[in-house]
Amino acid sequence: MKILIIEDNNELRENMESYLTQEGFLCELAESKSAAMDKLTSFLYDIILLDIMLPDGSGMDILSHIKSRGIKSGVLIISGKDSMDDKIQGLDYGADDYITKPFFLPELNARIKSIYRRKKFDGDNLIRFEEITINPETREAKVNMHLLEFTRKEYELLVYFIANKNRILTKQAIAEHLWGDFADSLDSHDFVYQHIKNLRKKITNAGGADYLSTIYGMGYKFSTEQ
Amino acid sequence: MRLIHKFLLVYLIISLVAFGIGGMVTYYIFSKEIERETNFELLHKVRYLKDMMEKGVSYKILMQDKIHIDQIPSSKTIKDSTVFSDTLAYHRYSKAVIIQRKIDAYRNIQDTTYHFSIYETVIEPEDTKNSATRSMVILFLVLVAFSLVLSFFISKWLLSAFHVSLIEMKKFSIQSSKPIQLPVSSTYEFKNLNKFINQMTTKAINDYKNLKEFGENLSHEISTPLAVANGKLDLLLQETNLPENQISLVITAQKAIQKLSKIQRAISLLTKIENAEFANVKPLDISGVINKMVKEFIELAELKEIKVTTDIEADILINMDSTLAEILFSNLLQNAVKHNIPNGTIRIELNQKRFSIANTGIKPVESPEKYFFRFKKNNQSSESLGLGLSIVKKICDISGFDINYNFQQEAKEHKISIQFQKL
Repeated sequence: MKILIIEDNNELRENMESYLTQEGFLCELAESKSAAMDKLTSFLYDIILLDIMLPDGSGMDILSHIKSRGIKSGVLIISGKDSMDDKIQGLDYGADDYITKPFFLPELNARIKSIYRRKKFDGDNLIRFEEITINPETREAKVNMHLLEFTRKEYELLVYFIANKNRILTKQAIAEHLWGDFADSLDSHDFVYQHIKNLRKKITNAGGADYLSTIYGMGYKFSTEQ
Repeated sequence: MRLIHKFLLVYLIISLVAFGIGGMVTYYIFSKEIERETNFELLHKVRYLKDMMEKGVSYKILMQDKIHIDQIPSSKTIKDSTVFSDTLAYHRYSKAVIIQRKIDAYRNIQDTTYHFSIYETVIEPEDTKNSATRSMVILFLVLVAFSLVLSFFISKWLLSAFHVSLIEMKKFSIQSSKPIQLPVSSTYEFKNLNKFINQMTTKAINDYKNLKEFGENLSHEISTPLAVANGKLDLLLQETNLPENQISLVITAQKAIQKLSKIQRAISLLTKIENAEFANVKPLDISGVINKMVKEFIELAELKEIKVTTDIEADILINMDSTLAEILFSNLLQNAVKHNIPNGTIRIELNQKRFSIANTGIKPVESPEKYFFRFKKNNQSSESLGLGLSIVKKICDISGFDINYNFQQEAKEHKISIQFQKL
């Protein structure tokens, strides 16, 4: 998967590049509107990460350029402004998702994968991990052929874990993913624990292996390695 | 009391004093004039009598009522002299003793000295005084009447510019970003006032704009470095073989960043609500909004083994902004779950008049209403921000709802009620 990161802050750009490269994505960088426009005329990308406030213009202009040229890339807006108007405007202009700074890199990663899946009309849309299969359209998860009875949050949690497999996910990052703005109270971490307990139980009861490991009670990792 | 009435009152009091003095002056001038005229008349009579006597008419024939002439014995010679005096004398026709003007004149006619003593009735001082007073009173009453009628029209005409300014000021909204533009008045004071209003509103709008921009920029400028720091920590966390204590350090640092970010967002939200940026007020099906929120939180509540009971009437329409409604009810539900006890309860009720949410919980340390203030928490060291209820309160204020919060001792129940129509 090829990603174009349009962000004027060097450090933030490097953060995203570093994390996404580890995921095996091919990242290209643009620090300004003009640099982004150059790249967009010459290359094709699966996903474009788009900062709205750029030194030489607005990310919205790039978005309308993308849409007017019929470029089929998925667009994820990264905004510093937690503004409803920007969000609505961005999505109206044809962006696929919107994430507000500061964000967790695993969250960014999960959102990118979700957009990528939605954009990939040709062929198989299923998420697979060992014996687990998830169908994002029907929001169903199976272990082997056994259908799992998940609540909405448990389903979201599993998708999030698989998107960030082999990575440490902190309780905060998980809470933020599940509840977003509602995750402000940190006792939502107890809820994270409860959800994970239930998730693990349901998978193992259905005959799946236990891929979840606890990292010193502070985070979790979903991986095949033990 | 209206301005014009005050003006009128002061004006009439001053007029009253002026009329009093005027009355006295009139009386004085009239009295002097009457005296002068009477003296002139008496002198004239003396001259006439003297002429007649010089022509040989006997002074005895000339005597009549009010005219008395004496012949002074020739032994004494007296020079011509005239003396006026006021005297009381019997008046034949009014049959009373009244004040009369008297002349005592000595004239030498053909070597004989005569004493002329003539009376003249005058207008009595009492009458003069009464007339002066009466005319002043009538004049004053006429003045009052005219002033009243005039004040009515003057206040309409003179103060019209002021009333226009007042109406414009009432209509002024700081968000409209349009300073008050007032028509130029020909009155100096109003011209000054309008100029000041214009300058003041322009300044207020600029200040407001700057503050808003500052808030927005701050929000943006803070979020990027926070994102950088959070990202670096995410990367650090992925380093293999990181010892436990270092992971703990990273996670604690991330917690602090998250908290900072939440505070910044909550304050920015409060500012936005205060600035009335959510003003899309229209009839909203809040039954739907609340049911949606309950669904959102029921899973959390069940995890905490909290029993949720609802009595939500369907299709309740309330005038409010939809974004604010979501923030309001999600904050309340979130609080009810967060500050609940294991195996507790949450009761939610909604009807056309009010919404109420009650949850079990520990006894608050202070009066519950205090939690509507910013950063006020039951436990100051707790991890929550202490901004949730401030936001709730602000939303109620801006939507015109009454909110109250109380704690029922026996049931150990926190109850927040929102009255949709102000009582």
